[in-house]
Amino acid sequence: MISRFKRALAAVGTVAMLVAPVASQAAVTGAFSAGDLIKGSMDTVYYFAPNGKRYVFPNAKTYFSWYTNFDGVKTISDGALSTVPLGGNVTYRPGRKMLKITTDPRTYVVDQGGILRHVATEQLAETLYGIAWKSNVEDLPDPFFINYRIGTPIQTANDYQPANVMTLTTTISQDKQFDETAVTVSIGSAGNGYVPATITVKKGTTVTFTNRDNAVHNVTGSFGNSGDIAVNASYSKRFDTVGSYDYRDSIYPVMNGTINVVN
Amino acid sequence: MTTKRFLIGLASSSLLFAPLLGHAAGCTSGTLIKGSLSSVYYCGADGKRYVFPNEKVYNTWYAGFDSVQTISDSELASLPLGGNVTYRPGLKMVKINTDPKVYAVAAGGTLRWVQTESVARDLYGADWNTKIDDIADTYFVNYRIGNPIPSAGEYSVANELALSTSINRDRNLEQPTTPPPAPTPTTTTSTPPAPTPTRTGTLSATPEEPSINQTITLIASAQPSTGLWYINIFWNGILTRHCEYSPCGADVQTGTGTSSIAVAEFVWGDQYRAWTTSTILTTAGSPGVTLTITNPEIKPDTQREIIVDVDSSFVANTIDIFLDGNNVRGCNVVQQCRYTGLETSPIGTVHTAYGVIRDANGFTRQTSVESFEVVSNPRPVVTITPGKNSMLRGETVDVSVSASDDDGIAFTEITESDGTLIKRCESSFCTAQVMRPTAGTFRFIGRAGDIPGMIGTATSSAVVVQ
Repeated sequence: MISRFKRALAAVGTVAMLVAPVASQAAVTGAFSAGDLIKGSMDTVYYFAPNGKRYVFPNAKTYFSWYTNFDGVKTISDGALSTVPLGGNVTYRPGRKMLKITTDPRTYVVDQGGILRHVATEQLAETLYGIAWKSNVEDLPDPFFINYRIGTPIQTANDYQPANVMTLTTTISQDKQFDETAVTVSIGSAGNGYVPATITVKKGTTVTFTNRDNAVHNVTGSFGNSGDIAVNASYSKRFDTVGSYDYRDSIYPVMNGTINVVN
Repeated sequence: MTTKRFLIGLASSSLLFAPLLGHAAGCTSGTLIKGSLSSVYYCGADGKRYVFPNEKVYNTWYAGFDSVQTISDSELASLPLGGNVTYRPGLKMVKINTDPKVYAVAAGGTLRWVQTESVARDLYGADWNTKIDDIADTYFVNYRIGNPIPSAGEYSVANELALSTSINRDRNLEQPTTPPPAPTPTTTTSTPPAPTPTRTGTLSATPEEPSINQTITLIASAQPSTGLWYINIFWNGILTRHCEYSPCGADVQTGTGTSSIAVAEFVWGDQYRAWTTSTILTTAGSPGVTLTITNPEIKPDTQREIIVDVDSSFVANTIDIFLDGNNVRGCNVVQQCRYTGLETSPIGTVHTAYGVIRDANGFTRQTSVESFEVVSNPRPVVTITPGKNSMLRGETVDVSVSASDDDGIAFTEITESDGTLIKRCESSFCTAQVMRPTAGTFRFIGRAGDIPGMIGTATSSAVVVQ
């Protein structure tokens, strides 16, 4: 009994850490923006959110409910990756699959925001997902359950329409209801610089620079001068004009970045 | 492949309709439960079951699986999942894979950044960097980030254990009807005198100064033992033994680090709790290997010399010399490795050194840990040798003392063990013929003074007179 338990636990432990089979010689870039997929030198892929944090895909199935391949993943330096704080975990894309927790017989549909809604009858499941609905049920290991919340059960087909749900939530940003008019750039150590070093935003976006290092930094550019930004403090600037704006840290001149503002 | 999926689908569809009525009771709060699969859960006071993400987390709360109760799958399924269990606070440091920061775990799954190496050293010993568990990024969301720890005084292992006596307590799931009595955490094995008798526990290790890869026995004793409910012994952050009696013993292995931490937790039936922490240093050397520091007191800007010797009992492949925890010299030779370097530290610095010797099969031995100090004027190095170690009454023995010092030796003396002078020479070498009329075991003391006036002493080996 003990050895089976050990294997079960070990299996759970290794289910995480999504591995992207990208070429080992991927070019490292400092340019990425909110909504991009990023990775460091290891193969774990993260979603870079507008709030400047990275979100983890607990397993491959969660990733593939959103993306079909790894083509869009950008490789950044390990120092830059460690500057971007972890924000949490990604949940399944709503509508694509039904979910079942391993030790709970109930089958759920996924609603926006990682909400699980119990499907009461087999007929209802068939109405929602067709005769082959059973092949659209994926298992969610117990430890990832905490990433979801339980919502109101589905009683009739009107309560939930997979096609509608999928149209409403096409990006992780929508699923987690990030405010896309505000993006965050992390200020790292002098060695890691601003992360992302180059970011592209839409006109009207507010960029917040948050100091994640343990020293004082600043942001100095043609658009403004932040003055001293203390540890964990922030400086915000709204960009209303299209163009490319360079900035640097006057305390550590080796640190510099660019904001590209587009329509 | 399609058939397989269909069958799996069938199984899940039948379970879909498993009547979930009938078992409204839930599980007993604070117990461990499992169904027909091997995953173990904790039954929370809120009637939910909590998942252990991996065995390392489990081991900080429980030793073994003897207390796990099996319930039916339908009963298990009726218990909603509450979340994931986090590390028990106080026992291990943790690290997220892609974040260089090392965290100590505090109550409620709070991660507190250990800000400097010296804080880590103070809390967890010289080899603190072997006491860190990795947490996968995906479980990061189970923890909160708390205040950093700028100095060792800001974090108390005993306090953290006090606040996390159960998973229910750690997660704040239960509402205690009467507040438990405030615990008296003790971090040393000695009990300070108190006006009213306080309950405490002691923790001892045998042997007290082991070498690496040695099995030692930890004994935890509760005082008083009447009314005792249980004792937990933690070894390097892992719950190793749970006893419902005193004393409680556990056999543990020291491994290859320079220090290990043992924590004993004592709980009485009325919820009174006490803790004791012990740091076990693997300072004793493994057999067959010795570390010699040529100048135990050394002047700045002179050469340090550290030598590791391996005798014929162990065929070494590599010998590494560690000075203050850093590998300063590696030799690919069999019998001796020598490190020399300029002493650049300020006066008053105490250095520690040890050697690690590995053979071709990966077996490791470690020398004892020795120290040397940077001083402005080192004492003379004195050796005193009796000509023989056993003799008959009435015979004489030649006792020789010699001394050396960079500043030159002014005098050497031979004295009895009580300090009575036998002979003094105004040179760096002195010999005396000593007669013993009575039987007994005698030792002699050699003294020397350098020209500036520092005194050094040494005690001879025993001379048995019959």
